[in-house]
Amino acid sequence: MFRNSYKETKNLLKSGQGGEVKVRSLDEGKAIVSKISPNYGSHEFIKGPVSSVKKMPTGSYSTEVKDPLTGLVPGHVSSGKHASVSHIKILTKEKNKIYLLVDDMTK
Amino acid sequence: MKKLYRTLFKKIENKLCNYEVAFNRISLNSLKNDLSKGEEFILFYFTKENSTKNEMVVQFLRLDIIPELKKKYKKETYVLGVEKGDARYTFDENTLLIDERHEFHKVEGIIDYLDKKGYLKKEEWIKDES
Repeated sequence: MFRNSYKETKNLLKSGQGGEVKVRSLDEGKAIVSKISPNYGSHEFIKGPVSSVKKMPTGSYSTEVKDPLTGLVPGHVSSGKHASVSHIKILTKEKNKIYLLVDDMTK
Repeated sequence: MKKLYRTLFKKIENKLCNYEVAFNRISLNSLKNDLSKGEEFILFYFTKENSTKNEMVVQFLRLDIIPELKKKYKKETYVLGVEKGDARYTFDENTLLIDERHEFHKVEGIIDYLDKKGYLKKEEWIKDES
């Protein structure tokens, strides 16, 4: 599994395109990011308006975790494509978006 | 005149954190200079349409000076991203009103494109040097 998701992410990064890759856990996602792009910075929001969550520098990633109580990733509108799944959003240096989506097997 | 803001980043305990400042107009030369030094620009402003507060985010940087991209982008290249969506939420691809990515070979290309599309009029963010 890790091999496939790693390969898929690497291919997306190489091809200069955005896209989605399924991973088994956030830890697996983080391992992929650090293996593929060890110099990518982790982007965090310590405080501030939702507005600031949208802006990431290129060459960084943010970990967005689903709230088990609401079933939604905080800040996302419920109709959002990635609202109901924990994920890692990578903004590549070429400004493409790659999403590592945690495959929820309990669904 | 739009009220423009710029997002900047600070490294705190190995993590990149945002802070936002009001953005004043910049001269073309300073803009070119900053981009050539590897600076990334993230400018944004809010609009109100049909009682919804939307946010427009314009992001651009120079690609051919990034060490790992030098081979791919052999001549001067800039990437521009424009996103617009409901200001209350994180931008999710399918809920965006505008989601664009373009490449240009000159800074003027970015300025002209933004001006032509009405996203950012040239006089709103570029200082007249004459």
